[in-house]
Amino acid sequence: MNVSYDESYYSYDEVSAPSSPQNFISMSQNCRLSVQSRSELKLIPVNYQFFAQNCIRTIVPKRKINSNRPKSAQIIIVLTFILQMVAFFVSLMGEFNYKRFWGTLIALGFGVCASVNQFSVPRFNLFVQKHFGMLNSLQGVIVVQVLLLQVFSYEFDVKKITLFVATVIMLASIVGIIALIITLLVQTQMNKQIQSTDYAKQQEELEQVEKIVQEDQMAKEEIKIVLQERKQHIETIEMDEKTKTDITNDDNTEDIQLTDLQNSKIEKQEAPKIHQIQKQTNGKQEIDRDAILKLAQSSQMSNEPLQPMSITLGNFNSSGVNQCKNSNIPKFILKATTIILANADTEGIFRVSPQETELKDLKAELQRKNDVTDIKSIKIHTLCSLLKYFYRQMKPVLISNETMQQFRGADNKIDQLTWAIVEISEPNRSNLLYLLKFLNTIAQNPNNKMTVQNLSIVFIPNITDIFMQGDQGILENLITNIDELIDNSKHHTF
Amino acid sequence: MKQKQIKITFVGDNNIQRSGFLRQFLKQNNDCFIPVVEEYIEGECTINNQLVSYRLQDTPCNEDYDRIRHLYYLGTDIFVVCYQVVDLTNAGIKQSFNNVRAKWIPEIRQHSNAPIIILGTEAELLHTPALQIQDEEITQLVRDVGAQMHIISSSKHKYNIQLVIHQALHIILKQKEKETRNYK
Repeated sequence: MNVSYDESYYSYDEVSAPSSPQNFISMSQNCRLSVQSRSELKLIPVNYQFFAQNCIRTIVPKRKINSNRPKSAQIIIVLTFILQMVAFFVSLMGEFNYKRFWGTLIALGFGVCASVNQFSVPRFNLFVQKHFGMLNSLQGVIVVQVLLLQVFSYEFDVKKITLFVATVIMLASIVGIIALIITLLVQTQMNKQIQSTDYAKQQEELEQVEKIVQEDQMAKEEIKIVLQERKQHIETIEMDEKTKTDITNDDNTEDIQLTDLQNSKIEKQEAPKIHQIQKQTNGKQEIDRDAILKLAQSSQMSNEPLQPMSITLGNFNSSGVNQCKNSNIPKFILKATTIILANADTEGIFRVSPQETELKDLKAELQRKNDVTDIKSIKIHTLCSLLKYFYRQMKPVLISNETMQQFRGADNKIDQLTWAIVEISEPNRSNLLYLLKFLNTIAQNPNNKMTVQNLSIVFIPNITDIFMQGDQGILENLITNIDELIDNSKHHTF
Repeated sequence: MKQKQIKITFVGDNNIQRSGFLRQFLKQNNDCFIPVVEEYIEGECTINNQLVSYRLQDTPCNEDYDRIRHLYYLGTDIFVVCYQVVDLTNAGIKQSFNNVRAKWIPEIRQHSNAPIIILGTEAELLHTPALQIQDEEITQLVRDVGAQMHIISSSKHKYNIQLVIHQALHIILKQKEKETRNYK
C-alpha cells in the first residue's frame, strides 16, 4: 500500500485549521476571507481530485431502491393506460367531432398523470390510495373519463355511449378481479414464508433455552461445591485465629505475673520501650516492592491456590488497622492484584482496551462463580478490565453517595477525609484502602506511563454510582495521601 | 439563514491516536497520555457558499464509562468510528479492527440511527513491516455495517485530516437537501 503525500494538500490544511480553541472565531473569519479572495473552486475541489485519485481504499456502497409498492398496482395502472388509449381511438372512429376529441384527450392526460405518478412521484398517489383504495382509484379515473365524454359531447348517441361504457366497465371489473386474486396470492405466499421462518426461529430458541437450563444446573452444582469449600476455609481460619489468641493470652498472663512480681516503676520504664518496638515493627511492614514481586513470582511458579493471609500489602495486617483483615477482600481481587503488580511495567496498564470477544466468556464465568479458573493464562489487559468489571459489579458500591458527598465537603483536607473513611461500614472500607494502596504502588512505577491522574480518571466510574466532574481530583488526593490516611485512621478506629 | 449545529462524534478504541487526530486539527501538542473524559471543538466553515457550524465531540472510550457514554451520542448527526490500520502485535488479533464490529457499532445502533464513517488511523505505519489489514476484510466490514465511506488518515503527517470532516459535513448537507426536496 503506497500512501502519497501531496504538498498541495497541506496548503488547504493551513487555511482552515484553527491554531487554538480561543482563536477559533477569528480563524473562521479568516477562512471566509480566503474563500472570497481565492474563489471557492480552488479550495474544496482540490480535495475531491485528491480523494478520487489517491484514496485507493475509499469505498462508497450502492444503495438499494426502495420499492414498497406491490407489482400488482403497477400492472393495473399500465392496463388503465392501455384502456384509455383504446378509448381515444374509439372516439376517433366514425364522424369526427372536435368536442369528443378534446374530451377524450383530456381524459388520456389524466391517465398519463396517474400512471406517471404511480412510478415516480409517491405523494399524489398515496392520497388516492389512502382514501379510495387501490381499485377505487382505477374506477375513479374511468368515471371521470366518462363524465368528461358526456359533458363535451352534446350530441347524445345513447347506443354508442352505453356500449362504450359497458365494455369499459366489463374490462375494468375483469382487471380488478385479476388484481385482487394476484394480491391475495402474494399475501398468502408472504405469510407462509414468515410463518416458516418464525417456526425455525422458535425451534432454535427452544434449543438454546434447553442448553441454558442445562448450564444452569451445572452451575448450581459447582456453586454448591464452592460453598462447601468456603465453609471449610472459614472454619480453618477461625481455628487459626483461636490458636493465635490463645498464644497471645498466654503471653499476657506471663507478663502480668512478671509485673506482679516487679515494682510499678519498672513498668513505667518498660512501657515506652514496648511502644518503640511496635513502631519498629510497623516500619518493617511498610511496602517492600521487591518482596511483593518475589511473592507474586513464587505464586505464579507454584500451582497451589493463593492463601489470602499470605499477602501483606502495606500495613493491612498490622495491629493499627485491625478492621482491614484480608479475609474481607475477595479472593479474585487478591489473585489479580498480585499478577498485575508483577507485570506493572507494561505501558498503558488499565488503559488499553482489550478484545471484546475474549471478555464475554470470562465475564459470564466471573458472574457465576465470583472467581476465574486459569487466571495465569489470561492476558494482562483483559485481566485489568476483568478487575474493573468486578469492582463495577460489587454491591453495595465501594463509595456510596453519602460518603462521596462527605469527600466533596472535605475540601481535600486530610483530617476530614479520614473521618469520612472511618465512617464507612466494614467490608467496603478494607476493600477501598486495599485498592488505593494498590493504585499508589502502580503509580510509583514510571515505566507504565500511568500517573495518579490517569488512574483516577479510569477508576472513578467503577467505584461510584453517580459522579461529577470534580470527583477525579478527590480520588487523586486519596491515592497520593493513602499512607497518611491509614496512619490517621488507626487512631480513630472504634 | 442560520442552520442548526452539526454534531460529529468520534468513537474507537484507546491508544490509536483517536484524540490525537483532533489535537492535530487544532495544531496542539500530541504527546499527551491522559485519557479523554470530555473534549469538543466548535467552529464554522463554508461549503458551497453555505455557512455551516459544527461540533467535533470526543468521547471517553474506556470501558469504565460504558454506562455514561450514550449521553454523548444524543443529537449526533454522524459518527466516525476509528481503528488502527496496522496490527502492531503481529499476532493476527487485529484488536481495534475487530472491536469495530463487536463493540462500537452495536452500541451506536442501540441509541441512534445516524450514518457512519469508518476511519483508519496511523497511516504512517503502513510503511513499516507490521501486519496489515487486507482490503477485502475492510470492504466486507463496510458492507456489513452499511457505512457511508471509509477513509485512511495519519495525524503524524497531517494526512486526510480535513477531508474526514469535510466529507462528514457533505454527507449531512446532502441528506438535508433530500429531505427538503421531498417535503416540497
